[in-house]
Amino acid sequence: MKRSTVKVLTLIVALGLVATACGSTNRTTADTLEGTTITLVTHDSFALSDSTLKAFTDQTGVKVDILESGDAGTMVSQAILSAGNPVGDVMYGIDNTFLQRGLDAGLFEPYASPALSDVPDKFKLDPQHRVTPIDFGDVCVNYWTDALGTAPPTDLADLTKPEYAGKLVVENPETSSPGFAFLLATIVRFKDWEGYWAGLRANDVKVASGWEDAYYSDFTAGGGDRPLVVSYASSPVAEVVYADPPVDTAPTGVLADSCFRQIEFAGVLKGTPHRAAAQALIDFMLTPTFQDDVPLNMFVFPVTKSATLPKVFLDNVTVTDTPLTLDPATIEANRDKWTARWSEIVLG
Amino acid sequence: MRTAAKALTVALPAVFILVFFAFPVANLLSTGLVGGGLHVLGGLFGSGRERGVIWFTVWQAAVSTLLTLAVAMPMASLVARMGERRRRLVRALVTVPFVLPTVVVGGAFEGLFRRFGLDSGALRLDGTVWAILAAHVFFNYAVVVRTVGSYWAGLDARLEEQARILGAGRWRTFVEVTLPRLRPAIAAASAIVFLFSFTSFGVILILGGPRRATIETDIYRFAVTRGDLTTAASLAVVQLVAVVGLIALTTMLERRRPITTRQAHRVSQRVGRAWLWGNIAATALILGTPIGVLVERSLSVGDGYSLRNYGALIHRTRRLPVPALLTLRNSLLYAVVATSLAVVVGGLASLVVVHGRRVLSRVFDLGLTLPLGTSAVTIGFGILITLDRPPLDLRTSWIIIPIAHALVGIPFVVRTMVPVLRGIDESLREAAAVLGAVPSRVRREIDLPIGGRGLVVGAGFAFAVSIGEFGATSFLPRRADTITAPVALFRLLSTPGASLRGQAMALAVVLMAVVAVAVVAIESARGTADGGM
Amino acid sequence: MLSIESATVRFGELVAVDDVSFTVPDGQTVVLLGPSGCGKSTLLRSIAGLQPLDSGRIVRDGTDIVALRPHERGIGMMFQDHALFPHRDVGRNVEFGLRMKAVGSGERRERVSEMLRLVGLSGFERRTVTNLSGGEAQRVALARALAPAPGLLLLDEPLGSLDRELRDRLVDELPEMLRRVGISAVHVTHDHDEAFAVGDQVVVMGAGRVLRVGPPMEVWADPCTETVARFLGHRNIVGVGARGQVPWGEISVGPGRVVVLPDAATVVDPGGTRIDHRPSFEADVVASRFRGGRREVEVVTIDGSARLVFLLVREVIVGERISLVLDPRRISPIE
Repeated sequence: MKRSTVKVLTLIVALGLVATACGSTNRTTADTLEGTTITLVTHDSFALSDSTLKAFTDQTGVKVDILESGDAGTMVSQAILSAGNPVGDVMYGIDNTFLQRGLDAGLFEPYASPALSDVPDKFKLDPQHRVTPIDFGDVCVNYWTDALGTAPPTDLADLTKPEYAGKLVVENPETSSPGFAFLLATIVRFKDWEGYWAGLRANDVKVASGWEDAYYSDFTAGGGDRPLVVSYASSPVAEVVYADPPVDTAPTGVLADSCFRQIEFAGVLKGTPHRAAAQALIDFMLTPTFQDDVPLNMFVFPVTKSATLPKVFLDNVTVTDTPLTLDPATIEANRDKWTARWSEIVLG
Repeated sequence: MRTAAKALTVALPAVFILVFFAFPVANLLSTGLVGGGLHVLGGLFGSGRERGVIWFTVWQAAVSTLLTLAVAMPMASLVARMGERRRRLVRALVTVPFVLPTVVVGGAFEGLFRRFGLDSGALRLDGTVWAILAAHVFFNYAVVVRTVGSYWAGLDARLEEQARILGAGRWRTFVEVTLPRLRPAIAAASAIVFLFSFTSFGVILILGGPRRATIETDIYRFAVTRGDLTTAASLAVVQLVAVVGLIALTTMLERRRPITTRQAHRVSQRVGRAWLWGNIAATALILGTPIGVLVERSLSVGDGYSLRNYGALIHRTRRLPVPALLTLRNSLLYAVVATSLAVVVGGLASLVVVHGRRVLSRVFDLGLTLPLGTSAVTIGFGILITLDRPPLDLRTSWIIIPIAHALVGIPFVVRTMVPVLRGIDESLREAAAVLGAVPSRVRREIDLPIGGRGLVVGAGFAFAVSIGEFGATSFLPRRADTITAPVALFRLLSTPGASLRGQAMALAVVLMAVVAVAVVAIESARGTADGGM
Repeated sequence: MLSIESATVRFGELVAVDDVSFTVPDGQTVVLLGPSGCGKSTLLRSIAGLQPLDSGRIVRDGTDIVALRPHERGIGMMFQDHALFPHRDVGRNVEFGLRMKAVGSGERRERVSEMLRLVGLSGFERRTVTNLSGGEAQRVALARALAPAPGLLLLDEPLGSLDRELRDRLVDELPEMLRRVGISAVHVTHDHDEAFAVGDQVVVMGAGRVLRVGPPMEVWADPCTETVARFLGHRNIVGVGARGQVPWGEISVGPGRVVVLPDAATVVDPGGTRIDHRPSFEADVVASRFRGGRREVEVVTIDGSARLVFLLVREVIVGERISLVLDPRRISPIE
């Protein structure tokens, strides 16, 4: 009995191994890129046109598998857990709010892409080039123009005024990335940010757990009764692109004064056996093929100077020249302190 | 040969659960707790907030369980008295909520609250614990109706008739004759509902309001947002301990008195008209209204109604790599693999739980139910850091997704099958043995086909769980080319735009229809055997 | 031939089967008869291999089969309440044992229909077992047990759950069917009518022990012990003095306790001539019942000391005082 148990166990494990061995990618360190397959680790908002990555494969002979990992926070946590033995070769989608955590964990190997010359310096947050900026988006307060019942706010400080009482919904910074970005916006903007939030609370701000919940349950867009929501600068564009029935102008607008800039980076994951192919992919991400494809797929802005924005973007969005920003190291150092304080003020 | 079969029965489930659950979770916990972990663990109980969180987690799960039982038992009684055909249909219909992503259900509930003025004022439900409880009842209604209803149908109705003749009223008969015999099934259903509510994530976040936290949401908060694995692992330990305690308790209840269900004499009992329609109305209210809201939303376009959202499902939007409808194919594929795994592993494990030696039986019972009560973060991250080296690097393989689904499906199979197996009259097994069947053959010829009643119900669950699962897999890397319907739905909802939202709602409705049809198909596969029981 | 040798089964303190021995000759039916709880079913389960013996041997054709497991014994068994497999139809129930022996499907089909013919259920192959009547289920159980051609058939209260009419009919048919197959059988029952009707040999059991073994008529006419006599339903148990005296007169047997068989008495005309020297006695008829086509009369001796039950040929009426003589050959001494 004992002996046969062992035999059976061995058999099962062996079968399992064969099955998995067949499934795993064949990793070889080849000098030529031709025939390599690399894995791009990204978050679940990732989207591109079919032709884009195909163009990369056509140019380099490198095939790209895409692995999605929940939201950006989950993706970074996963990468940290598997640091040194990464799931993929390139990570794309780590933003400035999580950047420092990734850098501290030593997730990336430095790579200065020659294409960086086309990227304005303000996006290059890591002087060691462990990560490369690819796109950016602004988290801003949006309003549903018709439901506002009053003039749109023009200043972040307006939101504590009586005419906007009971109209704003924000996301919990502990469970939502735009929620955290908006908290950072207020911290950058107001010296007494705690007092500002106390004012918002007095003005009956509603807190939702995530963007979907806020936008589609509480905000006017989902039939909710709040005409002000924390969303993105590009949200009005999506409202036009995905309107049904079609519309010419967006039903929503953006409070430009409230925008906090999120920059998304890509980096070569330390431990990749396909360094050359991974670096080629980073280069490719800064080419017009990729950069021009980003806006309508992910509703973010390309970082390169040469990139062109589609008309619907130009018509419906204004990119503020003076977004609120904060250094990643400061963000990481203060995250827990700030969110805890926020919880006390707003939820306590 | 005989011992090989026996060894396989034990080894297959054991290896599966060790490789895909026990080692990964143990690995993650030890990684998290290394250096100062125990200190943090102690600190959790010292912190008033965390004590409150632990208490609230247990409390809301217990109340959700009791409420679900109270609300769903009448329907279970009705299901027990139905003909097999109708029973199958009802069982499939009540399973529908299972596949709905919480973000969609949360939205539907909030829409309902708004419509009936329950979102503010004295009767406010939105953002209260009542909203959480209502949603848990909505999601778990099926667990009680299916588990208890099917088991109930197998009980000998003559005992009730005897009690009525002896002068007991309907209620007395139920309390004194029926209820005690239903205990194994009620215990099984309660365990599942409790664990589901215990590890509920989306419902707590979306409907509970920003102030509510449970162990599950805190594990996420610490592990993902704060990157504090030590505290997350400590909380995961607390969660595991609580779950082990609970399972031990229900196992005791389930085990105490086996009830024989051989040759149930079903007598066509007349069901009172008021009872029947009252029940249907209640179910329609509980399950129907949130679903009704979804259907309405899926049809609404601009100011009117149209099927346009459904039509859009066959075209690709930029937000998805394939047309939304095609994601259903991936979901179905995963569900078929996950259900097969759950049925094989769970079926064999049930045999061990029922026939194995005492210690083995207990260990299996516990080990296979545990995944249901374990945080999705713990399982997902555990697999990520454990099955990460050749030859077992499953992190990038598509198979890990159905395996994770199966982990959640297996407890359903075990919990629904064990009471049925325990109810099989021993003389049937003896008859088979005397007719020349070796013990393993007896399992195959008697236990499996008759236990199939439980197996089929469990398989239906496993299927629905897999189709709708969003938790465990959201903490595992997923291959973008095999995106599932719930993930697609979530992505459609993560961009503004009425057409995307309409598509998401339409996809949710299609998902419900698919699961209803699939569950009917699974449960019909059993053939006539069930009808005779 | 099957012999049970000193079989003993204990359940903790309780000795359920206590040193029981008997044999089942080839082709014969042995009935284990006893009140419920006497250990007869336990013994039957031991023969089947479902209940291990604590000591003793079960020898079949010279080999001890105690070490064999149930599926290795090649014994057929009919269970109380039939234990038909609810998930299989009649045909698949009957062919179960054949499948276990890996008999080919064609041969299986033939054998199944042969068995169903034997038990009078031809054409029932595709019926579901849950819709069978009690008698049909009984026959299916028998067909299932006989299909693999076992060397021995065990029947555990097989007629227990049937109504009287069906039971009477099966009591007649069962031995006939077994004879046709030529199988040895051990049949457990608590009903002495059934036992006497189906058994070639009867083993009366009480409290785990064998009390009396023998052919039915012999056991009935000469139960040997009062316990057995009472269990077999004998009512006329009488203490007899040293010279044959009883309270109401005398009888020509004794001394000691005796059982007077119900057919021992004849009514005589008190004024008429005595055909022999047998003593007569007077009694009052207190009840008269017609049962099974015979008249069962209950009388009380005139001194009121005994209440006796007889089968009488002559017609009597309740309240009548009659004279009776007893046939000494129909009186058996008991311990």
